Amino acid sequence: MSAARQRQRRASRLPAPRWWLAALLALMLALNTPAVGKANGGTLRVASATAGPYVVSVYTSPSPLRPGPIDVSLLVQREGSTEVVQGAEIVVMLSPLAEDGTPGTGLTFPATREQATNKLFYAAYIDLPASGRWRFEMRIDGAAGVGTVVFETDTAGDGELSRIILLAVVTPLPFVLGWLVVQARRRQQRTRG
Amino acid sequence: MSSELTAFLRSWQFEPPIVFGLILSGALYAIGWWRMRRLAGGRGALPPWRAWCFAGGLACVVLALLSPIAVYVPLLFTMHMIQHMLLMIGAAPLIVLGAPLLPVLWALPQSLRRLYGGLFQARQPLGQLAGAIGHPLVGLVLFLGVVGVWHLPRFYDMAQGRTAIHNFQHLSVFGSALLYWWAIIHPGGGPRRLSRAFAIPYLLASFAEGSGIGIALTFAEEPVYQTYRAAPRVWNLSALADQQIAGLIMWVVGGFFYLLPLLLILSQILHEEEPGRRRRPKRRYSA
Repeated sequence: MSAARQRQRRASRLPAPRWWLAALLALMLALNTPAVGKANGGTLRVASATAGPYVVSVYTSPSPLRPGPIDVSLLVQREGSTEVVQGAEIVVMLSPLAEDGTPGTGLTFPATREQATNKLFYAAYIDLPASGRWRFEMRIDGAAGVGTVVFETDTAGDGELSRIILLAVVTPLPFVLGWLVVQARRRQQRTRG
Repeated sequence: MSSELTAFLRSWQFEPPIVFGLILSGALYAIGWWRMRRLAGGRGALPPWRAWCFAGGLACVVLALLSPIAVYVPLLFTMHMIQHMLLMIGAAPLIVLGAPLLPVLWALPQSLRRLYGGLFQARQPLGQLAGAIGHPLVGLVLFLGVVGVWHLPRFYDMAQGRTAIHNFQHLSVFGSALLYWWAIIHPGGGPRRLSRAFAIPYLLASFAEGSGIGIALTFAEEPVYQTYRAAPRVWNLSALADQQIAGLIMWVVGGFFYLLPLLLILSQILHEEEPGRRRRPKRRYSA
C-alpha cells in the first residue's frame, strides 16, 4: 500500500470531531449571558448638561429600553474643559411615573467606574422591573460639589428601527425563493428533456 | 502615562455573540487546517501563511468590535471610522486570503460535507445562487452601495447607539467587504479570479468613492453627523477636528489600501511586458 493511501486511511480513522456539541453549549451560554446592558454607550439621554460644577452626559442601553438588565452610564467633566472628573460618588435613582406624572417608590443604584466598560465613564447596572414611563435622577457628589441631572423616558419600543431591519431582511426573501423555484423548474425540465 | 490614555487602554468590552463567533470560526479553521495537513502528510494542503492571514483577519475583528476602539465609538467619530476601516480593508481581505471555505469544510463531519457538496454543486439552485452572489459586479455594487448609503447623515445617525440597526450596519459593511475582496483575491485563483483588466477599474471605483467621502468629511465646514455634534467631547478634540481626522483616515489610509493591490497588479502587468518574458494566457472572470 502506498504511503499516500496509508495516510488517507489513517486520516479517515481520526475521531470525528464533536465540535458541534461544544459549539451548541457555547451558543447557549453566549445567548444566556446577560450582556445586553454590560457595555456603555447606547442612546444619548443627556448631552453635556450643566449639573452644579459639572458637565454631565448620560447614555442608556440597550436601545430601546425594555424591562430587564439595563446600563446607565455617565461621563462627568469639569465645567469649561474636557477634563474627566475622577473619584466622584454617583447614585442613580429610578422612579416609575404614574399617568399624571406622580413619581412612585424609587429604586437606588450606585454608578461606579469599576462597573464601566469605558473607563472614562461611571456605570450602573440596573434590573428595570417593569415597562412604562420612568424618571432617572443622577446625583453626582465630588470634590467640586454636588450636581443633579434628570431625564424621563418610556420603555415603549422604538418600533420604527425594528421595522426597518425586518423589512431589509424580509423583502429580498420572496425574490430569492422565487429565483430558487425557477431554477429548480428549469433543472427539472432539462432532466426531462 | 496620562489618565486618559490609561482609561482608553483599559476599556475593553465583552460581547458574547461576537466572542462565540470568533472562537467557533477560529476553531473550525484550525481543525480543518490540521486535518488537511494530516492528509497531506505534513506538507499541508494550505500553506501556513494562509492560516496567519485568517488569524490576522480575526484579530482585526477583535480590534474593531471588542477593543477600546469599539468602546470609544459613541464618543469619537475617528474611532468609528477606524472600526469600519478595520472591518472593510483589514478583516475582510485577510479572511479571504486565508481561503476559509476549504478548512471549514474539512472540519465538518463527512455527512455534512457531502450534504454541502450536494447542495452547492454548480448546477444546483443554491450553487447557482452562491455563484450569482459571488459575481464581481454584485460584490462591487453592494460594497459601493453600502459604503455610500451608510455615510448619508440620515442613515448614519439612524444607525447609532446600541441598536439592531447598528448591528445590521456592521453586518452589511463586513459582508459586502467580504464579497468585494472575494472577487479580487479569490483564493482558488484561475479563471474565477477577476481578470486584471477588470480588477483595475474595480479597485479604482472603490478608491474614488472612499476618497470622495473622505475629502468631503475632511473639508466640511461643520460636523456632518448629529450623533457626533451631540456627543460629549473628550481628548480636547472638537467635533469638527474629530471629523477631519476621520475624513483623513478614510481618504489617506483607506485610499492606500485600495491603491496597494492596484499597484501590485500594474507591476505584474509591467513585469510581463518586459521583452523576453512569455505572457500568461488572459484570465476571464466568472463567479
